[in-house]
Amino acid sequence: MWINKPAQAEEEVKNKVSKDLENDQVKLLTKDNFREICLHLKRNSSVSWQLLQYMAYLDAEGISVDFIISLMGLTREELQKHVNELKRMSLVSVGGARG
Amino acid sequence: MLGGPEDEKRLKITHRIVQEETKQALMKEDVTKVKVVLEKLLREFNSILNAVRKNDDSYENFCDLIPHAKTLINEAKTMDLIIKERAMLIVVLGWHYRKTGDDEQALDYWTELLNNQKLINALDSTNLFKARLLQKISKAYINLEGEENIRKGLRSAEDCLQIFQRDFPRNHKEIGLVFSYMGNAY
Repeated sequence: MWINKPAQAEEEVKNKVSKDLENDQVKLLTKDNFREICLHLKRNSSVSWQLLQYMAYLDAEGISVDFIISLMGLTREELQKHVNELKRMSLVSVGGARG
Repeated sequence: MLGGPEDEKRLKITHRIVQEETKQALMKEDVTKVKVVLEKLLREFNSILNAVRKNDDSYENFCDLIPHAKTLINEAKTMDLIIKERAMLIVVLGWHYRKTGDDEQALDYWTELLNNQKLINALDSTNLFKARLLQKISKAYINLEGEENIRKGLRSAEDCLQIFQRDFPRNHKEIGLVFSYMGNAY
């Protein structure tokens, strides 16, 4: 869920996100904390970050898992691991047919 | 599970804002990185798309990739990315629209490509690609029917013929083909 936080709470949000990421959980995704999330991904899981980048430049209505596997040269199990990481941060979801 | 039933086989970004912010984050980091991501995507995408296109049984999979091709072409246009894979993808996209009977959409993509000489040169500097693109454009115009469209189609066919006769005079097969459908259009 995206919620715009007031500017004065920015520091508080950053601290919360860092703590949440350390604790392996992010429950609230906001525009303000997105930068922190990117930083976390870049530092700790470059493949997940790359997956998110690729997804950002493709159609937002959903990408077939088989296509992503071919695109990234990953096994299904490896992809699962990175998808789980992005799901944990509420960045991606796994779902049904287009639309 | 990713390997689960059919209805669990698509990955989605949860919100448009995630998509936009991811692009923004990459852009702020370094513009050249955006180009690297797009280049990689275009290269891989073309090779996957062509493999799928050659397999008659996977037309459905091919169609599934079309929205991604459109998005990628728009992104590449925004970044003014001059690589041959962008041109190749535009050709394939036009081919798809012609196959589905949407000649106008095909023409939109192909004429935009025709007007981008830098992009055409990235794919082929011998003029052969340009001649064949003109051939495709002329056929699509003629297929649209109506006096104005047929006139545009014939004009493109004449441009195509001019290139063939000047640069590839021994290519009798393609020259003959252009004459043939020009004759039908007249």
